[in-house]
Parts: sequence; C-alpha cells; structure tokens
Amino acid sequence: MFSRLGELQAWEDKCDRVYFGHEFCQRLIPSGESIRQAIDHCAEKGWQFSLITPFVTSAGIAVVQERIAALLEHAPDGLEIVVNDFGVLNWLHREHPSVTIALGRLLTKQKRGPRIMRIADRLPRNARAHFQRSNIDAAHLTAFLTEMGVQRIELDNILQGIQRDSGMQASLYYPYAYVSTTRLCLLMNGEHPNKNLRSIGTCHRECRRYDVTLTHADMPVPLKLHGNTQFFRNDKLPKDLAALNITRLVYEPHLP
Amino acid sequence: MKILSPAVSAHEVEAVIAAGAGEIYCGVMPDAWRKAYTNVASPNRREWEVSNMTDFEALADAVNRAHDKGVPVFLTLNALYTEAQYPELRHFVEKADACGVDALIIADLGLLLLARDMGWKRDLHISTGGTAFNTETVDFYRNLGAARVIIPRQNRLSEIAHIAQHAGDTEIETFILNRGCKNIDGFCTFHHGVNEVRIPLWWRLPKKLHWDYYLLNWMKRLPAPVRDRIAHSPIFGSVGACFLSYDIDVASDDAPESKRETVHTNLRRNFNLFTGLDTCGACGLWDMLRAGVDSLKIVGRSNPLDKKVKDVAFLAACMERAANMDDKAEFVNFAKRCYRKTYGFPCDKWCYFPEEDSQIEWDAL
Repeated sequence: MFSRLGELQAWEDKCDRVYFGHEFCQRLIPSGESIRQAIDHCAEKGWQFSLITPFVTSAGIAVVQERIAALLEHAPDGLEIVVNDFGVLNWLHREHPSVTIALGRLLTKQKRGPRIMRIADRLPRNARAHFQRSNIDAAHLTAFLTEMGVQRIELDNILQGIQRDSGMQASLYYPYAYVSTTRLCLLMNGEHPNKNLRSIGTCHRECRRYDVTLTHADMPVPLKLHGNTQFFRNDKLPKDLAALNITRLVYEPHLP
Repeated sequence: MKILSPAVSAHEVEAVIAAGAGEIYCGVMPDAWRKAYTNVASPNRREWEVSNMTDFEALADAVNRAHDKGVPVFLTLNALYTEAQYPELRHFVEKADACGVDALIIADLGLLLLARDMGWKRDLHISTGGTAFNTETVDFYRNLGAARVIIPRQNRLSEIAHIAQHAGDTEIETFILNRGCKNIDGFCTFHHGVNEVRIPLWWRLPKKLHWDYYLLNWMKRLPAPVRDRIAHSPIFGSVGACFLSYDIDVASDDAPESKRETVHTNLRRNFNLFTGLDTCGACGLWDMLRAGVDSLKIVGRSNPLDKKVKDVAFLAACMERAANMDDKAEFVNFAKRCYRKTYGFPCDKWCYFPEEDSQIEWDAL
C-alpha cells in the first residue's frame, strides 16, 4: 500500500496488487495525474490496482467522485475501489454498480485499541470473543453489503487476535494497524499551533516531516502518530489465514 | 431547534425538562450485559454505571415522566455489535418498544438493519458513530429509514449548514456542549473503561459520587503550570482512553531541533485529561438556527444533575437570544458573557466551531 507515487515507483519487491491513495485524510487524495502514473507503473510491472479512498466531507466527496469517474474512463483490468465512507459507497452503488468494491478498515469495526491487552486475562469468555471479532461479520450485514456491491472487507491485525467463522473474504493489513483518527490533525497543530485547540487549520504536510512515537506505561505497545492518525505495529500474523477467510495480505512498507 | 439533554433517571428527566430540554436521551446497561461483556463493551459507548440506567423499568419510568410533559426520549444503542450479541439486541429493541421510547440512536449498520427488519415503527437516529460527514452519507442512511442524522463533532459550521440545507426531511442534530474529543467517535477504537476493570473499587465509587467531575472542575481553575504537572502525574496521566499523558518522541529527517521541540510542546498539551473538557459551540447557535439544524446535543450522561441543568438553562437562554437578535456579533458577545456567568469561568480554547476555521475556504480543500 502506498500513498505517494515516489514510494510506489521505488518499490522493488514482489506483489500481486498495489493499493494507492489515502484512507485517513481527504487532503492527501492523489491527483488524477498521480493516479494515472501509478496505474501505468502497475501495468508495466504486472500488478493489479486498487484505489484507496478516505472518509470525506461534502467537498471531499466531489473530489473522490471526480477521480473515480476519470479512472473508470480507462479502467485497468482488476480495478478495485477501497471505500472508507458510506457516502462514497452509496454513490458507487448508484452510479457505478459494476465496480469492484472493498470495504475499508475505517468501516469494518474492530476494537483495535492496544490497552485491551492489559485486561485480556480478566475478560469473561464472551467478552474475549467479542473483542476478537468485527461487527461486519454479522450474517445479515454481510448480506446487505453484498447487495451494495461490496466483495471484500479490510481488517487490521489486532493484538488480541482475530476470530471469524463466517463473512466475506477479507484482506489483512500489516504491520501497521490504525487505532484512531481525527480531522483536528495533531501534527499540524504541533508545528503550527492554532489559537483554538479544536481548529482543523491549514495543512503544511507536517505528516510528511515528522515521525512521532507515543509511549506510556499503561499502553502495551508504542503508538505511532502519523499526521492525523495513530497506529501500532504488529508483525505477528495469525497462523491460519485461510481458516479466517483472509485471502489477501496488505503490506504497508511505510506508515499510511 | 430543540435542546437534547442526557438523563439517567426519571428525576433527572423532570429537572432538565424544567430547565428547557425539548428532548432526552438515555442509556441502559443491564447487569447481565455487564457481566457477559464487561463495561468496556458497553451497549452504548458509555462505560460507567453512573452514565446508564441498569434496567428497562427505570427507562419506562423516565419515558412516562417525559411523555407527561410532551417530551420525547431516545435510547442510545450506539456501540458496535458482534454476531453473538444480536439475540440480546433483539431483546433490547423489544424492551425499548414496550417502554415507549421515541427513537433509537444507532451507529452500527447491523443494528439499523435489525431494527428495520423487526418492524420498529418509531424513529431511527444515526449516532455520531455513523460518521455522516457528507450529504451522500445522509442520503445513504435516509434510504435505510433514518429519520435523523447526528453530524460528527468535527464538522465545521459551514459543512453542517450545507448538510442541513440538503437533508430534505431528514432531521439534523449537532453537538453543542461538553467533552469535545479530538478523535472521530465512529473511527476511534481506543477502549474506555479499562481502568474500571483493572481497579474497580478505585474507580466505581468516585465516579458514582461524581468526584471526578468536581475534581476536574476545581483543577481547571489552577494556574496552567500546576495543572500541567498534575495532568502528567502518574495517577492522573493514566486517566482516560485516548489522552494518556504519553512520553512523546519527535523525530525528523529535515526539521531543526527547535521545530521538533515546538512540536513536542504542542503535542504534550493535546494529550492530557483536560483535553476537550469543557468544549462549547454556543457561539454557533445563531448560524445553526438559520441553517435549519433541528437539535443540539449536550454531551455528558455521567455529569451530576446540577451540571446537566446548568447546561440546558445556558443553552435555552442562548437560543432565545439567537432567535431574536439580528446581529450575529452581538449574539456571540452575549453567548460568551452568558457562559462566564453560568459556569464561573470564561469559555476556553476548546470551541466546537472555532472562528479561525470559518476563515478557511473549504471548497478549495
């Protein structure tokens, strides 16, 4: 998965498919030209292409719509759109019902917070199972999403482990799992503090300049603050991916 | 435009209605649910006993008292649920129906579909956890039967106004007072209530007596350096879910040391228990009234009753003025004066709808 064209073009390792775009910030939606270059690069390498889109405001959704509409004019084989906003899903289902859709990890709810590990040994059996599962695997919800054109769901590699015994095929992101995100970008407010602590403010791409690590005795693993989003790292993959119907691993060489 | 107040008992319902609340919301966490899933997996995202009723009899009582005054009551069921919880959720929806609850507040698409399939006849409200940042998402939920959508607390006034004007007959609700978390509710996966599981006695009693509220209310009046030291002390630094007082390491390939220090200092003030404590959006009332926003949500089911009543009375006074003042600047001045008079301190730097954001041309992204 790549959010910057330069990083994608520098990638030398093997892969079958590339995710390109951003999940967490509409200011980082790639330009139409970047998307075109990314597709050309993937075609050259024989990689399939997924455009990954963020949650968006009404202004942001117009940008996503414009990018997808342009993309569909010369859609590469195997094109897939990863959706992290129900408005984008609604629009795709209405306007482009034949597009292949993956439901992004912002919309597949898992209890990702690492602090659950501090009480893991005190949790009753039901609670432990609850925290290892996603809401999205409820059978009636899977059926609804299938009707909406969703063919795959995106999951994070959470510390407490994953349980699935039904649901649609899934992707698993690693090594970085997201914990929380915001529009009130913490890094932006770090370098250019706003007068008001809840301002969204003006972006200077601070996320591209800093690598911030947050540690605390109560937090079992360090958190990485990257722009507006907090992540943790988990390199340990589940043992039996097939049994969990995880059919794709999404490797993040850099923090998204 | 109505004021939506939290309440945790029939007594509180009567008090906040008397102060001017036009709508009430409540949560119920039965003991059986708590035993099976712990408070961390609360059915309504508020983990404390003090934030919830413990049975549906209490809810029925609250609903009856509110209905006597012609005020609707909404039940918050805005957590995210896994398959095994659905039999219990079915029971929740049936009980809510029997209690005469006027709407369910829902975040999980699965529960929305369940309520619809069960033939729920009254309203369905989409919680802020539904992350409706744009008009298409409002349309998505409307198609699924939602009567109201609660806009995430990170949308700006101009964005809320845009949504309200394109919402058709779907009602729009916004946040207006108290804990203005910096994270997006529907996308945040930090766990609340972990400390209650780890050290229950240390947490439950003070919460029940609202000591945490009174202590914070006192501490926020201390000089900033003293407050900062307390906030980063071992005890207080572990309070909360998403604002632990972290050790912060800032690295950069190209930023000079002085810039990294600035980032460190400013991040530090964002991670402590005072983060977003007394957020207020009253200055935005004038615009919201004219934009067609239908309801204003006060956060704080766990707050003591005197705080809840104070919040409703403050907003009622502001709403009355907002409706009758032609000059927005004059109204904003009134709201700020009224805030200081009501709470005893000036409104802080935690504004729901900061003026500086209104200077940004959002359409330009």
